[in-house]
Amino acid sequence: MSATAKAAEGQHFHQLYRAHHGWLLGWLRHRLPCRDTAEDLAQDTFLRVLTARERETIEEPRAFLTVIAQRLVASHYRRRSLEHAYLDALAQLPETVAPSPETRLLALETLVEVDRLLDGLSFRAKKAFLLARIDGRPYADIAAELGVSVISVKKYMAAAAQRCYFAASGEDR
Amino acid sequence: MRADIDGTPVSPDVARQAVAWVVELSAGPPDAALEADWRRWRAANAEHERAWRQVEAIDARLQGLSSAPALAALSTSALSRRQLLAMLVATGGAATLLWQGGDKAWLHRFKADHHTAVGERRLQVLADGTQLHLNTDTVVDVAYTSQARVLHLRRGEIRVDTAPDPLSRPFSVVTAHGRVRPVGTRFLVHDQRWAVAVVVLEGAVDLQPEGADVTTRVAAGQQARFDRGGATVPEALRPGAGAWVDGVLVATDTLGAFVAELARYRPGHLGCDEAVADLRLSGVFPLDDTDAALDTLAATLPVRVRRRSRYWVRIGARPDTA
Repeated sequence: MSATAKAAEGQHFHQLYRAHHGWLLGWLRHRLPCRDTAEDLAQDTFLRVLTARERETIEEPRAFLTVIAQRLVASHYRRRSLEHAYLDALAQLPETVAPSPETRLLALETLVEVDRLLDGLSFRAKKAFLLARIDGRPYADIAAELGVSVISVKKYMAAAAQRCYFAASGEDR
Repeated sequence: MRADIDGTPVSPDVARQAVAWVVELSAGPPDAALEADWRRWRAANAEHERAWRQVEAIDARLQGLSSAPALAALSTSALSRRQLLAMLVATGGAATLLWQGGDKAWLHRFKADHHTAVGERRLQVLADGTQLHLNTDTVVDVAYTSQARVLHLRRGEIRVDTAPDPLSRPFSVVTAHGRVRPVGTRFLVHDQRWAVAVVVLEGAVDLQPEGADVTTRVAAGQQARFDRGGATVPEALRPGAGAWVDGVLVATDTLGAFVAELARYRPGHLGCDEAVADLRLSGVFPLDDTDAALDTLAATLPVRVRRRSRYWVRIGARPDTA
């Protein structure tokens, strides 16, 4: 991209931000109880606009911004719901070693990713995969617990492993 | 959860092979012949090795998760998450948790005579009139027989106000580290996992650590700790000890110490940054509304309460405003 084209793009972005950031923040504050989160997501939205490869001038800026923001709000709520459920369930178990806050945070990030990567698989498939890879349970055990055949467990494993380890490598089975 | 060592995704064909290896190797107990084949596949070319490193990198992240809570969180079925966890525990999941945990206190939670959830406090009056106060996250079994009155403190903290017994049976509280024998009294016992802390409000108690042959007497107005090996010398009790029975937590020391205590009453994570942990704090805070307690902290100290969710809260320094 030439220097002038870059400068023009930069200008467009600044105009977009100046014209619509305040409005977007208001829009988000209506949908999120926490002000800090609304501010974070507003910044996130504009960051995505900046890094998108959209070259043409955006026709309907507010509609465009709301599409992106809506997706971010949905992921935010999904993330919170995962965190609540995970930490709540974790609190029911005894702590043999109290993990550091950083470890907890990383575990939550991993959970959010696993949720995204395994989305679409049946709950049984997710369960088979996690019991095998995290707890090291043999397939015979898992099959008995899920009430399915060992062959089904292998199929669940193949589908989940493909998505979890090789999401970027194309076709999934 | 990107793990490509050099950025380019592995080719679909190699990915498929690696997946097939994951599936075979996870099936059951280790198999020497299978593993030898797998090692040969890895060594056969650089892309195979790269694919396997990717599996390992992501596995390292997966190991940070606890499977039962993760599954409860990922559940999209109509079952409530609590039901799901209870099911996981009741069926094969229980055995797995035992392998991971090694601590059987959680088992007792489901069969115990009395237990409280995190943040819950309750008073239970026993058959002889003894008052048993349970603090947050506590599990107690009651074993009254014709010979003796025994409480088994499996987990957590209790206050006991003993009642005189028409049958004059001896009373004791059994913990993982030893026995606490009251001499007609009001006292608190707190299982802190690596030791048991005892506070005496009225009367006196005798501590009998499991492995040591010595009995330590703790009198009213004193506190001490003991583990299997022995007991500390009793010292004056901390002001505000046992105030949880009245629904409050008393801060007399540092913010860090207070937050560590308050964390017992909230599920999830509540922590305090090093930078502000030494700030002095005093006051009385409600245990029924820990969020209000946290807001009060932010109002009285130069700190900020960062809430990423109800289940993840951290106290840190208030950012400077330019």
